[in-house]
Amino acid sequence: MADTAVAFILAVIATVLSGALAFALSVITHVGLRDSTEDAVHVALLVVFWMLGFLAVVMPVFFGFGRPQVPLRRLLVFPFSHWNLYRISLASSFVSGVNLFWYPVLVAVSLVACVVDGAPPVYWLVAVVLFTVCLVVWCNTVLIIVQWVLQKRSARELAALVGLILVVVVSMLPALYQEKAEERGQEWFGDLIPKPVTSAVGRMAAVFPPSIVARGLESAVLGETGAGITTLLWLVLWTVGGVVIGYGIVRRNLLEGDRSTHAHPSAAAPAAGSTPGWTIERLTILPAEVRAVAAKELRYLLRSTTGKFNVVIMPVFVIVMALVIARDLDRSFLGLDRVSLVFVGLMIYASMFSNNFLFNAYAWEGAGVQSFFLSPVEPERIVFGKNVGVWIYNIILGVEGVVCFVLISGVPPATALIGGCLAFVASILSATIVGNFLSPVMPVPRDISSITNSPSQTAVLATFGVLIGNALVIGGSMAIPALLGAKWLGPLILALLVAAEIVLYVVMLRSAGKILDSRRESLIEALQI
Amino acid sequence: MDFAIETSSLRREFGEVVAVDKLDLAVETGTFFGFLGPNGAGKSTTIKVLTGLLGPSSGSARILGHDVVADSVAAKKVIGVVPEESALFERLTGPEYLRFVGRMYGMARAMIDARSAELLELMGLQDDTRKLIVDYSHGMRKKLSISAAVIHEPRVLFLDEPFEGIDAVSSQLVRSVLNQLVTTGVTIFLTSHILEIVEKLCTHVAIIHQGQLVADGPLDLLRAGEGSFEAKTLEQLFLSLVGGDRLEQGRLSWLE
Repeated sequence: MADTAVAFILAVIATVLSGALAFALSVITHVGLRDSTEDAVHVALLVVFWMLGFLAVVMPVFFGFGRPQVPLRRLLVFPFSHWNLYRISLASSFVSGVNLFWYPVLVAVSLVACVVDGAPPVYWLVAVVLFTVCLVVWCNTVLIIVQWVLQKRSARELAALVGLILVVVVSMLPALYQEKAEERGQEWFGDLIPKPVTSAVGRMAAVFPPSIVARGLESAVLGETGAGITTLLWLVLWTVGGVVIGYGIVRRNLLEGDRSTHAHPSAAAPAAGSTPGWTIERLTILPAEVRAVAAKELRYLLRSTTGKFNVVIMPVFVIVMALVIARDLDRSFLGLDRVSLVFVGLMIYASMFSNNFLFNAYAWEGAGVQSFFLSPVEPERIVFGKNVGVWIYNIILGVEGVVCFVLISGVPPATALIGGCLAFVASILSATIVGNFLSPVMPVPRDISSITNSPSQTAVLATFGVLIGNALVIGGSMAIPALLGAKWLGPLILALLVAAEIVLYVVMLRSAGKILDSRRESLIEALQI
Repeated sequence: MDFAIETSSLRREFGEVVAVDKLDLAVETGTFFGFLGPNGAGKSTTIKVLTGLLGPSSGSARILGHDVVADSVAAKKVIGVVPEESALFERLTGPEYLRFVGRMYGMARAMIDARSAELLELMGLQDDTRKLIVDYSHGMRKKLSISAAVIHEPRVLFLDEPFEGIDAVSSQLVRSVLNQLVTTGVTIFLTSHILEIVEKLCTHVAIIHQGQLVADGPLDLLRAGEGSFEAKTLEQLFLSLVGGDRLEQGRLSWLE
């Protein structure tokens, strides 16, 4: 029932978006054709058909994560030839959700062009049908290529990581653009790209189907139908090329099987002795079983997409915090100078990078969680080992954050440096204590290659309290003494808070172990997906 | 007489379903014990209870005298387990996983490394030491599970379908190792659907059907008709006890 409701809401949103896009592109078409000048028609048709081309070929890769409509390998059990398998995938592309989204847009644009602006209807119809077939063929071929390239697990994980970093960096671009534009004027971005590069990109773009169909229709609208037909023949060539490439990959590569099982050893994990996990095993102050669990945990964190992402994104995060946000702050706030405030804020925020690893600590274990319960180890040692692993990961992040900050903004005042680091520790400890109880009670299995490892909705709500409490207690511990002119008092209060949390952690550890043991069966069941 | 495994009125329910009912088992130390039954009979549930993955609904179980509930850590120290489904940490490499297991059993690092190398060599996994387990085939995972189960010299070994998915050469190697373990006094508790292997390896057999024990004793005595039936092979014994009417139904109407 819930799925139906969600599907209905998504369908309504897609319909509204499709209608809005149809309206916008129809207006552009109408304005361009009404003007009747070569430039106006050229620009309008280029905008319309490149937009449609982008929707048809690029969006399925994003929305479907590169997966085709029909998983061809599963159909291998049936007596289909490779050619028929390719045709099935092509047919499914014709009715895929993204394509159904832009068909009405093309119909609306065509109606406006032919009925309102008097474009030659038969010629236009032939052109858009050729263009549609060409786009759908290439949509299918691109998905086949993506699926082929991402057959290997490591390639999929790398793609997810790069995609995530790109999304974050691109989302920061407007702020950075604004920052630069204020300094150097609005033209700086245009001057950034050399003219030969822009003209080369323009020449390359002209050979792609959206430019071809735009040029062909432009010729027809301006009365040069013969030239237009010759131009449109290139669409046929593109279509044939798409079919040949798509079918070739299906036949030769895609149906070979998962290459990840035949991966060359050198493409896999680094040698066992070279990872930070190995370093933990040398921390002989800890019991052997705690070191073993911590080493396993750290290896998992550093091999997960989100774990790697945090490490990679930390410098970007520090740059944004230190450069962009600091500029918008007054010289001092809440009794703290700008550098101190940004540093403490940075450390508190950085401490939350690993919250999901604590609140949904067993998310990635899968059936492997049984290894914990088969081991002759008290459950609290397993909990402690997992915590140690996350703490060491946090130390890596924390050191990275501090070093980046110092390189960009210089060394913060001693009270801020100590206070920020203590705030970092206090925040992580409180999350650890809560997470040790939430994780076994509300486990949510997650794919380690995925960009998310969020806990259950209930756990998310419960953790809000922790975050608000941290913000009040930790922030207040730094700000109130600073307002009173006793900056050294802040770090002292935080040191006492950390000490109290350590005592609480030790006292609660046995209970956390008991909870883990009592939830053993449901945990195994929940994680075996 | 020393018993490696003892259960007394062991029962395990899943809601309304009784997977194991009033199970009384006594497995002598140093025996190669085959625990057989059709699909869904309760074999894997029994192993999970004995190894601490599941708690019993009622009754008790002891491994070398250690109660699996009250003294679970001591019981787990003396056992090794190859579960039916993979229970490996898939984002570790084979050597990393073996090191993890070894450390959990308190083994010294040098000993773990030496035994890991020997086990990986024996199982033919020595060329895949840098590959993550997620990239292992089914058979490779099984072989790694077997390696992890024996690396710490367990006194009792639970094997749930250990030969499923592994090649003939590896299967022969594993059987040799298991026989070697038994000669050193290790008790092996084996479930397998491959009755020929059970017949070759096991000296004692128990058959469970619908959660209840229907046969238990030395294999030779069971085959010789110690009970109310007589069978030449283990397969005949097994079919006569759990096959029932289904054997007569083994025909498809459209092929008549």
